[in-house]
Amino acid sequence: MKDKDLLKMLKKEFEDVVPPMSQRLKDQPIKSVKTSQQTTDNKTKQPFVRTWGFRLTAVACALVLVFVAVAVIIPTAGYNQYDTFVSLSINPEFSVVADSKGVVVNVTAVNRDAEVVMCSDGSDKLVGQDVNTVVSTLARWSMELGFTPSDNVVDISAVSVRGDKTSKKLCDNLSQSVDSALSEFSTITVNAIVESVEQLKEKVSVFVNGVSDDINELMQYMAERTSYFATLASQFVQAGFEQAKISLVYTVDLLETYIDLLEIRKQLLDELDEINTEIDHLDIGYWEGIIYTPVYDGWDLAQYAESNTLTDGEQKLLDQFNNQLEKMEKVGLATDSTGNFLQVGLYGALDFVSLRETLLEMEEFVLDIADTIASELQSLINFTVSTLMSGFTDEWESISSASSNVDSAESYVDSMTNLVQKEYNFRKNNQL
Amino acid sequence: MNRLRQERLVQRIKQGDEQAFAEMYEATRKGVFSYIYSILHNFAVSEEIMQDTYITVKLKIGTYKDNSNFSAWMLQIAKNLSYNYLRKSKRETVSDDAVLHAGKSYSMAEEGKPVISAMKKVLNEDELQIVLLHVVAGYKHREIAAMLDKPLGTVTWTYNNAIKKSREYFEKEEDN
Repeated sequence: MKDKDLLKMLKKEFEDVVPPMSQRLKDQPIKSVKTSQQTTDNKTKQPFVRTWGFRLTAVACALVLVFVAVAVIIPTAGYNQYDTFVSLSINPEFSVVADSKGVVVNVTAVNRDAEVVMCSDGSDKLVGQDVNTVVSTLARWSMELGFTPSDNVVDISAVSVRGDKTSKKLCDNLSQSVDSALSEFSTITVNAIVESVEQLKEKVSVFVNGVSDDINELMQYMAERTSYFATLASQFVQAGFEQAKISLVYTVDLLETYIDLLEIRKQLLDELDEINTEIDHLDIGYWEGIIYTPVYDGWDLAQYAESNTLTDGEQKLLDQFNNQLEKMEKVGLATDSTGNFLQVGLYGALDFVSLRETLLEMEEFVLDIADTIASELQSLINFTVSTLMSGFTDEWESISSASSNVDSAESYVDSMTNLVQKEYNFRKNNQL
Repeated sequence: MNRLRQERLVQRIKQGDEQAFAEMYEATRKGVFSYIYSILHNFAVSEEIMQDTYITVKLKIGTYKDNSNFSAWMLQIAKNLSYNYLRKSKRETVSDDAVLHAGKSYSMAEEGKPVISAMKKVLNEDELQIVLLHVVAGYKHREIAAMLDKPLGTVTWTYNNAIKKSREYFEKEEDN
């Protein structure tokens, strides 16, 4: 059996089982968000009283604020910038660092699930808010996105550099806030534990060896820690040659996709032109009431065929049209009467005008891929030269800057390839 | 569906546009269904969880951050709901396991579907997921790589390997 036949059968098996929208889903209204225009409109509707009395009050309030600010800032001028470390674990895991006033200075997504939660609107506004609010918000977002903790327990651990007493108070407050934020999830319990400085040191040593014993430095390290994806990116850079090979595979794959798309596009356009030319040359039409309606495209012809006998020529065209549909179905190209680009199987009324538009849209997509390939290749070259060719930089530069030293483009590429191979072997042999 | 059109639809859904939601449903339902099916292996249950997924999308669309990866966001919801179902079904005693029992069981609806039955036997969850997303839902390998957060090379390799395994198994079964 050919792979093609196997896949065709698999596709067919799924055709009638993917359900349409259920009544329950249709009945569920969308919980929409207000537009900024609506928000502005609402704001402008509120009365704003401009009186001298109001202005005097405002001035008095400002003076009081200045006084309070002076009173608070001066005694706490030496407060610790990184005072509190909180770890929240549901399935997503976060670490949160706050200063001695409980204001959050860093939120880190520790795993991929946490990165997903951080896609929530408002995640860029977490820094600067109160630590209880931030931890509760992260817990609520996680639960709302369907991340349920194992055994229904949300784990929180917290430590303050000011000692166990402050840590205990912090922990109690966090527990209360998260508990109340998750009140709608009745099966969930919050397990908040006070973490010791020693435990924190242990935790930090997992990320980096040789971190100082000084708690302030540890907190600073945690506050500057990067999120999961950023860490992955940095590993990418550190991974060296093997990673560059992966990048090359990616680029080759993109190139293949690009070539496939170009081929499909060319083939479809050619066939489309051919069919349209034939339709233009044949006098096909049908009567609808008293108005004679010319048949514009294959879809009309298909409709016409439902209640009329076709001539041999018409039948041939209809077969071509159906073949065309099948081909388009295979590559996921099908349009409805409004020209919308739909997935396979939903071609309600395919017409060639919208198909052309779709192909043009596809062309933009192809160009996008071409851009991506170009930039991928460029960064691969930069990456290879700057990071990997450290042992042979001079040789590399001498070849690349003086291409006249080589006879042809082919030998130029060969020289470069040899050099990369040389560097790779050198690194491999020296276990670099 | 291209990214730009998807983001435009999301914007409309965020404003409460049911028509946009219906378009999104049509464009993504095969992907979401096959993804859930690759975890639950049961058509009837997958149908339920799929409806729950879209209901969650309707309720939580306000929390989706613009220009993130919408497909990945939606599949993550589908994955969580599927795993929740599996966790629950392990705890509960199910009387009618023909319909409700997920996992490696078969439902009546899967009779007469030899390819998927064979694939369920030989492929692991990752392999089945990639094959279904590519073949049934029509996603490109690079789109699947982005949705599942896997390198493109891994997706391509897994896919080819899975097809080879399935074909070999299927041929052997046919010979018997």
